Formats: sequence, structure tokens, C-alpha cells
Amino acid sequence: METKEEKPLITGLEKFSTSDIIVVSLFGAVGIIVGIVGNIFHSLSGLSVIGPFILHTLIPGIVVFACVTTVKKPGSAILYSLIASGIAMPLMGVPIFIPFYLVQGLLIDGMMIMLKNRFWTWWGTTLAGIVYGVAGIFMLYYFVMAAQGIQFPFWVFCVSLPVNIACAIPASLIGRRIGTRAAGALIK
Amino acid sequence: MLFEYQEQGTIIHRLDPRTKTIWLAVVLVISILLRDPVLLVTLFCISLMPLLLIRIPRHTLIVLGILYLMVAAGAILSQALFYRPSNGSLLTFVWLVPPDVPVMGALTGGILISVEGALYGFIQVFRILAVINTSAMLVLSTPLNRLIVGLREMGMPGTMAFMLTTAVRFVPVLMEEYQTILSALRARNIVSLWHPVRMAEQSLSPLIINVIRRCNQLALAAESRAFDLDKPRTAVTTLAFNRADTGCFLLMGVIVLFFAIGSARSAGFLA
Repeated sequence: METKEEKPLITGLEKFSTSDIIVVSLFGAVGIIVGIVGNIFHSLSGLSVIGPFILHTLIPGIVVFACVTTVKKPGSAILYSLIASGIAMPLMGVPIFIPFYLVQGLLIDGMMIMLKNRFWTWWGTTLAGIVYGVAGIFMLYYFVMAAQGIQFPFWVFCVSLPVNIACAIPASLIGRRIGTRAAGALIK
Repeated sequence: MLFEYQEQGTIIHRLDPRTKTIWLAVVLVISILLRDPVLLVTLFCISLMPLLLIRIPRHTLIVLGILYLMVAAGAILSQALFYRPSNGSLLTFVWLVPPDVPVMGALTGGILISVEGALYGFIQVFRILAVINTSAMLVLSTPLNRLIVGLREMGMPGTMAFMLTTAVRFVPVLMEEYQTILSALRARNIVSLWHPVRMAEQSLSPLIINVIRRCNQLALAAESRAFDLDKPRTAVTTLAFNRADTGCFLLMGVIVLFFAIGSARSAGFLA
């Protein structure tokens, strides 16, 4: 009698080793903490103009760049974003922020594929940091706030953009430095 | 955590997590699509009902109240400052920076605070609060393991479910570790809010290195339990829809229809 072999589901996660999956999960746990704290202080800051830079860009940026530098595989940023935002944002009552994080993760992965090994140079990471900063502020004003019916004039976006980039660049470089140390400590 | 699962025996607690997740998605989509203020207030009231049914403890109610106030203050203040009607002009306003002020006035076209903007912000608050209510209802009435099993039943890959569970399991541990790191930094007097970049690096570095130590141990434990095996896995927790879930789906259908007709009427498509 012939038995039919059940085909395993192809999800794209196969290229990640067990170690990678656990690294991303635990970085995701750090991302959940950072996301919750960021949202509390963002709400406290009242105006979205002054709140988000440090709490939505600098600290989460360090964690996401440390995670991708440790794992060094395309897809790790989107996985991290999915875990961190998928839990932290509904816990904070703002699931509308999930696409905000997903787009940032997607762009970091895209940069990793585009720049290949150059992504790990300081200028490659800086470039990814700039893209991360631009995507964050764009999604905040033109997706998250717009979907909630909150309007901002274009000049607010223009003023916020350089501030956000100025936070995203150190975030990416610090994240890279921490990630390099972390990768050295990881048993592969 | 802001909202944590509270064990109670209410009808909402007994619902399948998939029903509640779908309800969250429905409210999220409706809240984004609605434009009519009356319908937004109605959505807020509807979203409040399941939340009231789960018998929220007093401290959670206080947290929820503070969150309501923060969201309301943020939205009203920001819209009082930045709202500009697409058709028509503002009637009641005070200039903070008139347009004829050099540089700032020319750059911004003038900054004003308006009553119409504050009112617009007040209406938008109901859109945000409807999603907060539904989200809080889901989190307060569903244990996380059941929620993850529900997501898995809805098509989430097993590895992803494992990652979510691991992340959630380690949040309290890492929070405690982060507190210890911050206390150690404070004891050495190197915590300064004036240097957020340096502080972020000094506090996150040891946390991430500790995370990596944990990763090594966990990876070994997972490998020894054949984590990479390409076979379907079973779960201890099993889910099944009951009559209450069927009733909820019918109610959801009625609510969606109500808002669709209401929106069509307010847009002038229906007499």
C-alpha cells in the first residue's frame, strides 16, 4: 500500500536556522518592550510633532539594526517587525501602527538585498538608516495619522523629516555596533 | 504591561479567539472607512459593549481612562493647531504665528488655533478609541496561548507561532533585566536624559548581550527537541467554534451592513 507523504508548508522561514529564529524572537521581545514604552511616551507627548523621534525611531532603530546585524539574512527585519509590532501594538490598542513597522522592516530587508555585502559597511548601514527614518515619518503622517483622521500640514512633515533622519542614522550605526558584538557572542 | 489577560467566566471570555480577532479586524477597517461623526460615535458605543461585558478590574479601568484622556488631549490639541477644512474656512480662531511674520509665517503659512479644529479632533478621538476598546477587549479576555493557537488555525506558520510565543514569554524576563541594568547605570551616575543616544546605547548593549546568551541556551534546547523537523505539529490547546461564536458572526454581519447603509446614506447615495 502506498502512503502519501505530507508536503511541508513552504513559508520562506526554511532558510533561517533554529538559532536565527530564536535570535529574532528574543530581539522581538526587546522590540515589544521598546514598542510599549515608546507608545506610552508618544501618547504622553501629546503632539505627534515632538514625540516620535526618540521613541519611535532612535531606540526601536537600535534594536532592529542590532537584530539584522546579528542574523545577517534578508527577511530578518520583517520577521522582527512582525513580532515586535504584532504583539506590542495591539497591547497598546493601536494595531494601526503594525503597517508602520512592517514597511520599515520591508525596506531594511530590501536595502539588504540591494546593497548585498555593502549593507554591512558603515555607509551601507547609514543609507539603510536614512531610508528607515524617511519611511517611518512618511508612514506616521501619511498612513497612521491619516487613517485615524488626524491631519498635519506638509510643513510639519518637512520639519520632522530631517529630525527623524538625524535620529535614524545614529540608531542604525549603534545598532550595527551592538549587533556585531552580539554576532561574535552567538554560537552558530 | 498596559493590558493583561484577566481570568473571568464571562461570555466574551468563552468566545473563540478567532471570533475576537476577526471582530478587531472588522472594527479597524470600519473605523478607517467611516467619515460621518454620528456613525463614528455609534461605532465607539458598539465597541464599548463587549469591553463592559468582560467585567474589567478597577485598576485596568483607571489605566484605560488615562489612555482615553491622553489620546483625546493629543488629537484635540494637534487638530486645533493643524486642521484646515478642505471646503470652507475657519470661523473661530486665534493666530499664534500670523502669516506676515518673517520666516516662520512664510514657511508655515501661519499657525493658528481653531475651535473647528478642536471639534474635528474631538470627533476623530472616537475613531481611535473604538479600536482601543476592541483591542483591549481582545487582550483582556483571551490568554495569549489561545490567541496564538487561533492565529495558527487562521493560517499562521508554526515557526512564526513559536517565535511569537517565545517573544511574549521573555518580555517579563527582559523587562526585569532592563530594570537591573538601569539601576546599575543609576548607581554609577551615568544615566542622563540629556544624552539620550549615549543612554540608549549604554542600557541596550548589556541587554542585547544577555539576550544572545539566552539565545545560545534556547537554540540548543530547541534543537534537542527536533525543532527543525518538517512534520505537522499538534497543540495542547484546541479550539472550536460554538453557538455564541455563530451568533457573534451574525451580529458582525448586521453591524457591517448597518455601517455600510449608514455611510451610503451620509454620502448621499441612498435617499
